[in-house]
Amino acid sequence: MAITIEDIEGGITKVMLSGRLDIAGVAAIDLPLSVVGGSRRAVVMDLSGVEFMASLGLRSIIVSSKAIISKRGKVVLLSPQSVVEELLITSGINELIPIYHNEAEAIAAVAPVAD
Amino acid sequence: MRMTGPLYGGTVLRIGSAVEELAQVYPWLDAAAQTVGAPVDLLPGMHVVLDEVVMNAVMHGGATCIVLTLTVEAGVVVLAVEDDGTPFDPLTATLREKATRLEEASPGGLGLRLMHHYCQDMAYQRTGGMNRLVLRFPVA
Repeated sequence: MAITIEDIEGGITKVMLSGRLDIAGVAAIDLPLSVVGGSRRAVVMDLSGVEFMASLGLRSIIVSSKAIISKRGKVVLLSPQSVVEELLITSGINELIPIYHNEAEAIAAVAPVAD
Repeated sequence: MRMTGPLYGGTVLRIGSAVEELAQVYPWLDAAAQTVGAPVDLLPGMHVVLDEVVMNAVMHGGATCIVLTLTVEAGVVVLAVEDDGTPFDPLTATLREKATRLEEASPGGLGLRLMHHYCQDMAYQRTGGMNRLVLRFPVA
């Protein structure tokens, strides 16, 4: 399980998760994801490299996303593989955190609106 | 001679609650599924359910011993999970409504929804101080 956090242009943060979000994998991303939740306001979580996720991994993503939303930030999920997308849809998370399959659209969706 | 008791490896796995032991459940399921001839397309859902049950037993039930058994009975894939944690019957736990706003979403309770989605049916028994959950998966 790997996580990289990259601050790209426009105050947007891209979080790339890859590998298995299983019992051991969740432990590796819990802390970095809570740092993202606590410190970033426009986040794209790229799930394209995630091979497996169960409710423990979902929990980690939800907790981080709630922290972002509570600061009036925005968060979206990008390109989950089909088994992971089925899980997101079954749990209803897709209705709470939008899923995109196109990176440019995902970035546009979280981009801060200019005053 | 054919052994009937719990074995280490094969289609039976007995583990403790240390993280490195819990991590064995995934490769075990892949190997056991191949041994009993379970369809490959069932595996993603079975992994999710197995992760769920094992984590519940350890994190909420305080289980220190878990025994997994995979069989195929009359064309149905059957995963039995026994643990020595506190009594918990997932069949009587109520499914929460899906949250409509992220602010209201509770990270808990999702696992039960996933179990109901991926399993054809579930049966629960408490016997001899152990939870015994029998999960059946539909074979298309």
